[in-house]
Amino acid sequence: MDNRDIAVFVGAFGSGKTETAINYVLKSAQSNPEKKHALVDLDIVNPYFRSREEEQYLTERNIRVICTSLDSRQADLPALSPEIFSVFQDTSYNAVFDVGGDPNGARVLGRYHQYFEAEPAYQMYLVVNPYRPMTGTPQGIVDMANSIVPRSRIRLTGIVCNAHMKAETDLPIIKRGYEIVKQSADALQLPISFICVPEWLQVSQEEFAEPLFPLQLFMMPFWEKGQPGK
Amino acid sequence: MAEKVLMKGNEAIAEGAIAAGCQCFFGYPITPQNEVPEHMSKRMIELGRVFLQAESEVAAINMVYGAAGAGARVMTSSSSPGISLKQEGISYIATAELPAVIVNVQRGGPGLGGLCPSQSDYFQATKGGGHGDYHLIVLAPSSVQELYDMVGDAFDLADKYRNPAMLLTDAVIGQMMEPVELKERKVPNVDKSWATTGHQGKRKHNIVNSLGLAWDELAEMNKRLYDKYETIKANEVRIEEQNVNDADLVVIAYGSSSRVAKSAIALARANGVKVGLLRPITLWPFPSKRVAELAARGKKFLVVEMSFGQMYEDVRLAVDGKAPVDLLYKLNGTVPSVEEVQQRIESLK
Repeated sequence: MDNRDIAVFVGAFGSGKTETAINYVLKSAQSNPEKKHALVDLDIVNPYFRSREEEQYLTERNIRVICTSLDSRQADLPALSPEIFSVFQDTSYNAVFDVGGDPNGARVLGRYHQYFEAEPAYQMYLVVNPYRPMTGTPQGIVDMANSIVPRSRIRLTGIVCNAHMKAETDLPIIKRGYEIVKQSADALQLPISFICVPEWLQVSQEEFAEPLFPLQLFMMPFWEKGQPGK
Repeated sequence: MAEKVLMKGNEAIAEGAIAAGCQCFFGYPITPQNEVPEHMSKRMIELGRVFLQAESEVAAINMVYGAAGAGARVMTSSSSPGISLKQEGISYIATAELPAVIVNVQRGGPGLGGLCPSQSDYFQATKGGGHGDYHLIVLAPSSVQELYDMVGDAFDLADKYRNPAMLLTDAVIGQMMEPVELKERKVPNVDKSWATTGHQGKRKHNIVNSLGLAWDELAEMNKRLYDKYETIKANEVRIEEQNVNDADLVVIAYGSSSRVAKSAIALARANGVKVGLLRPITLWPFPSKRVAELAARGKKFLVVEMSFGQMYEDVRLAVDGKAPVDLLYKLNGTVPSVEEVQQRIESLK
């Protein structure tokens, strides 16, 4: 089997999984142009702000986007594409899975758990924004992790700290959020794999022990697209 | 200041209702408002209040009618086709003069339509919606914070006038996330001695209904409503204005369209165009008087809305032929872009 990168992003509703997954696959495609790349949109929970909305942008950058098999991509029907199997079978792909929110969204992974088990190097990240109501405390985050894992039937390998307040984000907000996420990561005995920061905000790597991951923002309201934060 | 959290619009509607002392929620699922009942189903139970998923929209609105008649602070939420189903009940509630809050997170219509954002329920919301002469008080928030705040305002207005109030929003604002300050809210002590809570042999029966079989009785009921609406029109108009005084052109937009309009106006202003914004916050009562004043001062108008042009008609009625009124309309499924609004503004200067 080829040495390949399989990354799965799960988390609470509205934690930033899609934004993180899109950036992750873009970065992966940029740094490994010789590989094939796919983004699998497994969000069957909510029909808004899904990675399939950026299909054209991603396709232009040699990333294959796999989502529903239905013609209407705006539908709110829980339809999964048979195409999804192709990224398990064709091991020349690096694949990123963007999963729907909450335990209900993670349930869809259970369908594929034997394929993930056959991938020795897969990573499953819990994306956490501690400024979202359900994951505002270390215990809330631990509870979210513990309810997602049994539904997904695959184990977590790391936490992604995505502490932000949209355009109001600044370094103190990220640091305050990081402290909450760190406590939950310690309790779950998982590493913080990386820390998301909006691309428009200057943050020095020296501020944190874990790697920073600058996010180019895609999921923006129509009147803010293409405009930086404050 | 209370600490901020990052919330989706629909979650903010639910939390705002809870902060405003909502005691009962009855609803039925429909995209794009599903996070409202989902959030309520967790939080109302935690708080020992009533959450009930009804068997249909018609059932839900009649549960609202019953709970409102018993004096509870009560809310339902739905989206366009679901709101159509509720219209008979809403007409009954308005006629029985009961306070209740109805949330419409609009999607694209007509018919079953689609899940895209839209503002095509303006007529339905502001002109009654069901049968008979009646009005809802209609609030149109334009941010997630305003959803949180204005659902409470809707409860207060509904109680103040014993009239159903509607929070009219759409899939853009319902689904987007913004920081929200979860302000505590004082729940006013409202006299509900009219409520049907059991007379226990100590007073006359309270009767809640919307029936007026006798002609004079029905006329009297309608007169009472008419007078109440005149009072509301005189006292409850709410608007937001930006740069209107020196403007040659006033853009009129509400809800999500007003967010696009604000960005476009800022760009046009930077190019030296004298343009301002009038955002109706209450769609009914509509700020007709203010629009007429501005028309009399020689301003031109541009209405931006996500429909064939529904609010456009209210603007033209208010302007009464005294100033040009242009319309930038978007049909269901599309939100105007900042660039196209800016271009239209600059073509009209």
